[in-house]
Order: sequence, then structure tokens, then C-alpha cells
Amino acid sequence: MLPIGSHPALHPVSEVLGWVAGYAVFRRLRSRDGDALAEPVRWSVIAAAAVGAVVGSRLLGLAEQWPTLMAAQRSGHLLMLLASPGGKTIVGGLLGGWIAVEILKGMQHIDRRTGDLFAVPLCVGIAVGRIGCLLAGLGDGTYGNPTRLPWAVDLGDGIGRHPVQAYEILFLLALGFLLSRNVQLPEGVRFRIFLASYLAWRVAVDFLKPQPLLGGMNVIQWTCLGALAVLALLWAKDKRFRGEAGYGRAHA
Amino acid sequence: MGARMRSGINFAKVVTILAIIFGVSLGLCGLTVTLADRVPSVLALAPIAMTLMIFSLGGFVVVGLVWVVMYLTGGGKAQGPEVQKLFEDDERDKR
Repeated sequence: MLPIGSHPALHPVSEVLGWVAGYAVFRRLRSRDGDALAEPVRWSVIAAAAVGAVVGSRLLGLAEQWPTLMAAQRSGHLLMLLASPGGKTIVGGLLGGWIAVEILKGMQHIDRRTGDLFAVPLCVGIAVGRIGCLLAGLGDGTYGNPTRLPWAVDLGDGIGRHPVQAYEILFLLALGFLLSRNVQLPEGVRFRIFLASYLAWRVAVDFLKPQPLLGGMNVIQWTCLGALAVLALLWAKDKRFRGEAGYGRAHA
Repeated sequence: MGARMRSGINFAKVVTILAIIFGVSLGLCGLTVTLADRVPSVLALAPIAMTLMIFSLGGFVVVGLVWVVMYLTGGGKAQGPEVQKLFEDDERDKR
């Protein structure tokens, strides 16, 4: 059993490093492959994604702890709970960011796909951020179920647990490597592959986490399944995949 | 001053940075609250997290409002799609 302990102060450090690393990769890819959007529009897209991510991650983070939410509602402390700090999820951040960008695109009449350039940076950023989740230990709420596997980690309570954050880092590095290959894909596909892969991964890996269940799965897993269904619908409706393959360029 | 602000400030960039600071400090604040019983020393981080949260949220609101006003008065940087074509349509169709 690997002793890790709980180091919550390292979580924000890692989170900031994740943003910085993701941005560095984004800049590198943008200068290598070009961008379909002009600089000011790209920054508007990034701002919408960041704001949507903060809101989405908080909302789903609260929903994830639905028993606490319901108890707060029963005791009349719901407003206090909503205003209290903490509780964020990456899935909520991704979906919130995605929705916010789509709203911005609708408002500004942007008909190009804007997400391909974010796919690899998101893999890198989330992987770096997950180091902080692992080091933060039991306070972070992203730890795994108890296990006797030789690579189990002790987060300070003497119990060996699945290092689910490390599993996710490995998954993201592999996904990022695949997505960074210079393969020509229709515009928007790289981001959708990233999003669908990450959501499917979370459906699977969250079975190893001790979260409150609702119908056999936790709220994040249900959200991932719903988002995957939406992605499948969008994919099926997209004309570019039904007869105009080759539209756009990789990383456009 | 107005013209200088319009040409010199990338509001989207500032809003992005403030949103990230708010998100990170929100998480840090939550961690300190969750772990306060088990690791009392983390409470030392609470004032820092709260300060960052309050200032980033306040800054976000102010900058957001200024951005909206600038946008409505025609001074915002991102006024339209301004799509920069990497390829001409003919060239793209050939690919």
C-alpha cells in the first residue's frame, strides 16, 4: 500500500498548473495548426468556456451530493448550502463549458466548430489537475473504493484504496496522445471524440468511487450517459458525417 | 481614456482569468471546510481562499458589466464572428 496522505494545499496548486499546462499546449497547437477563428473571437470562446465550466462544475458538484442537498432543503438551509464553498466536478465543467460556448456561438453567429483545439489541452490540463485530487486525499471526494490490490493508496485513514485519480491520469495521457496524432479529421470530430471518450470513461471509473447512488449509479454517471446520448444524436444528425467527410481540417 | 481602454483591454482574457481564480479558490475553500476537523492546519488557508473568492467574483462582475457596456456601445473587441479562413472555400472543398 502506497502512503499518500492528505495534502489539500496542493490541490489548488495543481489545479492552477493544470490550467497553465492546458493553455501552453493550446498555444502550441494553435501556432502549429492555425485557427479557424480570429484572436478576439477565440478569446470570447475561451471566456465562455471558462465561465460555463465554473458554473457547470459547481452545479453538478452540488447535485452529486444530492442527499446533503435534500437534507438542506428539508431543514430550510438550501440557500446556505448553495452559497457555501466547495464541490466541483470536471464533468460538470466540461458540459457547462460546452453549453456556454454553443450559446455564445448562437449569439455571435459562429458556424465553425471551435472545440478541436481544446481536446488535447483538456487532456493535459485535467491530468495535471488530477494529481492535486490524488494528493488532496480524503477531503477531495474523488478517492476510490477500498481494495487489496498491490498499488492501493493510503490517503491517511489507513485503508488501501483504488488510486482512481492515477487511473484517470493514465487514461487522459493515452487519449491525449491519440488525439494529438496529426490525422486529418472532419472539423469538430477531435473534440467530440475527446468528450465522448472522457464521459464513457467516467461512467466506467465512477463504479470504483464511493458516491451516493441513485438507481445503481451516481449523478455524474447518469449525467455522462445523458450527455453521451446527446452527442450520439448530434453525431447522427450531422450532415458532415453522413456524406461530406473530409470537411474542414484537423485542429481547425 | 475610453478609447485607450477599448484598444488596450482584452475583456475576454480578463474574464477568463477571473473565472479560473474564482473556480480554484472555491475549490480550495471547500477543501478547507471539509478537512477542518481532521487537519486543523488547513484552516490557515481559509482566509486566503475567501479573499480570492470575493475579489475574483467582484472583479468578474465589474469587468463583465464594463465589457457588456463596451460591447453595447460598439467598443468591445469581439463584435462578430470575424472568422479567419485558413483556406479558401475552393481549396477546402478539394481536401
